[in-house]
Formats: sequence, C-alpha cells, structure tokens
Amino acid sequence: MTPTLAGRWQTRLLLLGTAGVVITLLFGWIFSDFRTPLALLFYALVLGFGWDALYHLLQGFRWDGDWPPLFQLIGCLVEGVFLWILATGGFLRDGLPGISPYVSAARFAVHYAVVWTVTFALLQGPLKVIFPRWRFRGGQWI
Amino acid sequence: MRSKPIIALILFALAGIVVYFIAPPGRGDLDLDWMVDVALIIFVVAMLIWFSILLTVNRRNRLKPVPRIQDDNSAEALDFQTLSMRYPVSIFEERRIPIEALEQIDLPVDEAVYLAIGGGLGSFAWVDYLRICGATTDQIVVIGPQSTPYENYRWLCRNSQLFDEDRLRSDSGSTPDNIWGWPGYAVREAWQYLIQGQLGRAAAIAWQVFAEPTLAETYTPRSGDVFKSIDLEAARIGWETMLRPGFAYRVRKTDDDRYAVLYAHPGQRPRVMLARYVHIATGYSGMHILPDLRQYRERTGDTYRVVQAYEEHNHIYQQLVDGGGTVLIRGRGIVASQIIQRLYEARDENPDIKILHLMREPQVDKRRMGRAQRLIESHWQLQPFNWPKSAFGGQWQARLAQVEDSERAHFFDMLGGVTTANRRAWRATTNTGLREGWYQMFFGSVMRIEQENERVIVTVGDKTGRECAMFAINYIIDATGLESKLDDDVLLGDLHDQYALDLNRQQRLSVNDAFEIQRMRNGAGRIFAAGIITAGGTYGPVDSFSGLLYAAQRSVDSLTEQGATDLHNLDILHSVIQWVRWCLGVQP
Repeated sequence: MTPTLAGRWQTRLLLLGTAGVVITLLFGWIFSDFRTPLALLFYALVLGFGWDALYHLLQGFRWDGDWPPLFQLIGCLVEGVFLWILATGGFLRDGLPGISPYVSAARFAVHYAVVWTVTFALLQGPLKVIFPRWRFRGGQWI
Repeated sequence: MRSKPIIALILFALAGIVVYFIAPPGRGDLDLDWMVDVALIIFVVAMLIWFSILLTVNRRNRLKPVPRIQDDNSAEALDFQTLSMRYPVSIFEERRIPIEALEQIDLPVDEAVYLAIGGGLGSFAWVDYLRICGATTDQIVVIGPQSTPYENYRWLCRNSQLFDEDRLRSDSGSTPDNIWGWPGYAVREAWQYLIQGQLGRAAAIAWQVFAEPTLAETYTPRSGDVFKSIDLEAARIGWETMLRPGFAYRVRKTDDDRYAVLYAHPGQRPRVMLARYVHIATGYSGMHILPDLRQYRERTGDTYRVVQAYEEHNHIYQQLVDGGGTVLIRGRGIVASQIIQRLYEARDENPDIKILHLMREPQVDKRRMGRAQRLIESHWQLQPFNWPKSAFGGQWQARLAQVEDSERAHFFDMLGGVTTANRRAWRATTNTGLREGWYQMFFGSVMRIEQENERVIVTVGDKTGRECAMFAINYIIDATGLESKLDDDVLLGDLHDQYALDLNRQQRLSVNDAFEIQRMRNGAGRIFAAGIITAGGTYGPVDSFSGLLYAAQRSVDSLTEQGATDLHNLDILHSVIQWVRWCLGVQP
C-alpha cells in the first residue's frame, strides 16, 4: 500500500485513536497521570496531520509514489524529537498546555516508542485484514 | 524441526515473566526500570500475537492440494464455424435467446449462479472473493481450458526462462491466494527460513521489505512459492469441483435476466451453461510477433531460428552452449532481461555466445510525471513493477481514476509502458556485457531479414530509412510480449460485434468502476471483466496479481450491494473471521 494524503490522515487518526489511546491510558495508569500522556498523544496526532502533508509533498518526488517503512521510522524519530522539544518548552517558553512540568524524557521516549511500534506493527498487516479495501484506497478507511 | 519455534516462543514468554517477577512493578513507583518492563511486556505480547498468527499460517501449509484433473484429451479445440456445422448451435446467432428455445435444442444445459470464464488467475481471484463472501461451490462454475489457475501463466514463465526458483516481478503483498494481501510472500518466506534455523536469510528478507526500494532491492516472490500457495487456496475453496474444462465460444443474453454460455471441451459435444452473474477473464489472445519477423517466418517457415520468447525455445540455449553463436534480441521489457540473464548463464559453459540487442531508438530522456522521474540505465527503463507502486493503490491510482479520458493516454504512456525490474544482478550483467563486448546494443529498424544457410541475415536501417548495418546471426528472439487485440479473441470478438460494446482508448473492453461491462446488463444479470482485456480504463495495472485482486473486490462488492444470491458484505467482522479461516486452512 502507498498512501494518499487523505489516506495518511485517516490512517493516523484511526491508529492513534484506537491502539494509541489504549496504550496511552495504560501509561497514564502507570504514571498516575493521565493528563500528560493523553495530551502528548493529542499533540502527536495534530502535529502529525502537518507532518503528513510534508511527507506527501516529499513523496511526490518519488517515481513510485511510495513511502517505505524505513522512511516511516525516520519520520517517527524526527516527529518524536520535535514533539518533545515543542511540548516541554524548547520553542515556546512554557511548553504546550496540559503537559506536566515534571514529565521526563525517558518516560516520554518509552511511551512514544511503544505507541509507534504497535501502530507500525498494525500498519504492516492486521489493518489489511480489518479493512480489506484500505490498501486499494491509498489508506482511506472511511 | 517444527518444534523449534514453539520452544523459542515459550522461552521468550518465560523470559518476559522472569523479568516481570525479578523487578516487580510497584504502583506509584515511577522509576525507569518499571517503564521499561511495561514496554517489554507490551512488546512481548505484540510479538506473541504476531508469532501465533505466523504459526497458524504455518499450519495452513500442511493442507494437501487436491490431485489435478487429468485431462487426457488431446483433441484440438474447434473454431466456431466447424462447431456450428457439426452441432445445433445456430440459436447462438441471436442476440437474445428465449429460455424455452434452449430446452428444445439438442444440447445439454446446466445452471449456475456465478460463472467465471477463463479459468486462469483472473477467474481465480474472482471466485476466491465470491467464496469468501458466502457463495457456495454448487453456485459457482468455472469454464476454462487450464487444469490449474496458473497453468498457462507458468507455461509462459518457463518458456521465457523464468523457472519455479526464479523470482517474479510482483510485490510481496500481491497474493493471488489471499484477498487481504497479508501475510505477504516476504513474511511467509522469512518465516520458512526462521523455522529452518536460517536466521540470516530470514533477517535479509525482513530488511528487504523494510528498506525497499531505497536501501535494498525490492522483494519479489519466487514463482514456485506463488504457485504452491495458489494450489493450497484452490484446495481450500474447492476449485476442482467448480471447474468445467473447456473453451467458451458464445455469451448471449436470455429472456429471463440471465446469460447463456456456449462452451465445449475439445472433442466433446458442446454444452450450455446458464448463469445470472458472469465474469470474463480470458487473458491474452496470443503472442505478439513483430511484423517483420512474422513475415520472415511465414515466408521461410523458419520457426527454429526466429522465435517468440514465450514459445518453447530451449533448443536455442542448447545449441549455443554446444557451438556458440550470436543471438539478436528484440524488445526491452522484463522478458528481454530474463532472456539475457539466461544467455549470460549459458556463457559460463560457452563464452563464445554474443548478444545483439536491437532497439528502434535510444532511451535517454527520463519520463517525468509531476516532480518525479523514472530511472534509466544503459537505455533500459527501470522500475520495480510494471507500474509505479502507487498506481496499484495510492497517489497515481487516485489521479488516474480522476483524469479526463483525453489525458489518460498520456498517463498510460508515462506510467505504464515498457520497463524492466531494477535488479542489481541484471544491471551488472548489462554493464559487464557492454564493457566486455559480448552484449551490444544497436539502434535502428529492420529493413530485411533473409535466410542464408545456417544463419539469418538482418539488414537494419537508420531513421531516414537508409541501410546502415547488416548482421549475420544465428537466432532471433522476439521479446515484445503478448497480443491482446479484442477481435482476435473468439469470445470477445463476437461479443463486441453482437452487442456493439464500448471500447476504451486502447481498444479494449470499456468497464465501469466495478469492472462491469455495462452494455451487457440484462435486467438483474451482470457481466464483469478483469485482466488485460480491460486495460486502458480508470485502473492502470489491471494485468497484475494486484489488479486482478482489485477487480475481484470491486465487482464482488457491487454484486453484494445489489443483493446477489447468498453474498454478504465483507465488513470488519466477516473479514476477520474469514481471514482466520484462511490461516487455519479451512474452507470459507
């Protein structure tokens, strides 16, 4: 499957809205703080819509119009670092609303990595089984 | 051997549990170890799910394919004229057949709900989807001359020097035996290596699908693996029980919203099959032979030295190994690459083999679409598959579906067209050959071909039509592909004449988005088409595994919407259940 822009957005929404929320709630329970992980997930989603537009633009330079898993991994790292800096006040003085000032980089890294790994695994196969038309529609499931 | 993965899994799970108990997580304890444990546990659970899926898929491999129908009938299929002289089939001259009239003619008449004509991979994809959506084996009939869905395909592959251990030019997820495309052939192959303990090879495949096509060469499945997988799925859906060996000659509308199909097994009395829903996927009508080569063969009767790549021509390699010689190749697609690879291998045994590659013109200008361009090397257009990947599902597919008809030709020209796979080994062969001189390219058009003793003399002209070179060679291999002219096809040529079917810009069947031939609607009756016979429409790669799966999905979905007999929509629940049944290898 190679994605269209609408497909990217819909797939991101689907994956973060289901598996992403479940994993985040689990981490919220572990951290005894639901607010920060959920806020981070929300920002990852919203910023992701922007990242997707950028990826879509870059994808236009590829003759096959594809987006290999390797690029997804690179994207994940770039997005993660950007999100962390933005959320904790690297760009703005106070960071983003809803993020606890005591959030640690390690916690964020583990939470983010687990969400990404699971959604990536879903993307590689199970999603095709749940939505048999998804792969022929550039990633759109709605 | 098979217990290895299970032991590995148990050890893996035990390790997770041990970690969990050695460092018991306390509520409110927020140090990093605890989080790493949780991450580990989630990871272990995810891996367990993945591995158990793979284990069930592995179970499937123990399915035994049903023995094939032995077809001892060596009689030739008759043409329609001869058929009509021998049997009472004149009723098929009419466009609309009254159902009572069929009862009065002296031919056996059978009935089905769903009828697939062709019996190849296109029919297989459609029937597989129908079975998965609820149709039963006694509702479906397949008419075709092949004993397995891939018989003809494999025959063409072998003639063009692609054997079971060679790799096709097809994506891992283009799985004719699995409508979901998962697990793909890469995962299955890696898994096979894993259970054999060949970790390195398994990891190499995993890396390939992860980094392709940028840092690794695109993964493609071995043709033998694909055929084996189709055998298993054929056994699962009961392909043999639905198959009626024979050729279809005529399709006619009946006055009760159905279609009557006249078909015959060579040497036997023709029969009539009635069905409400018909699917036509008859594929290519023959081999494409360049006009100058065709004329030469007709004039001299020499089909020994001048062959089509898809014809049986092993004698050429044998003769070359024995005595050396020069081969002229025409065409610049994947088959030409495959033939060159075969000749390269033959050079190991006899270095006195030369290849002359004749092309009409050099290829230097890169094809451009938007911001992207296609790779060219040594006048070969390179691309992983026969269409850019996103034309199968993604950006180009969406664009192609939207553009105006007038613009579509440009898209086909740019995105489709003749290309070969971007394989390191092939590129190295080309470059070595060019450097060492045993492989040469020549640009021009053929003016004359003459037979002279043991050789063929080819005279080549330049752009202005002036003679510019003359070659004395031993063999000519035409690798320009297969023929798909509608009118050459017995069934489709007649259908086109009788019902004045619409054709698309490439003079092939015009179908709607559901791959239906709209002109053939007959009340509730529907006729669909798939494969090369529909090329030129809103979906580009119709002539590929993926294209056949897509066509099957679209047409069966439209039937489901229409409320066709016993079909249910493949929603999330049905899809998952059916997929699990696929994994377990039990019938749909």
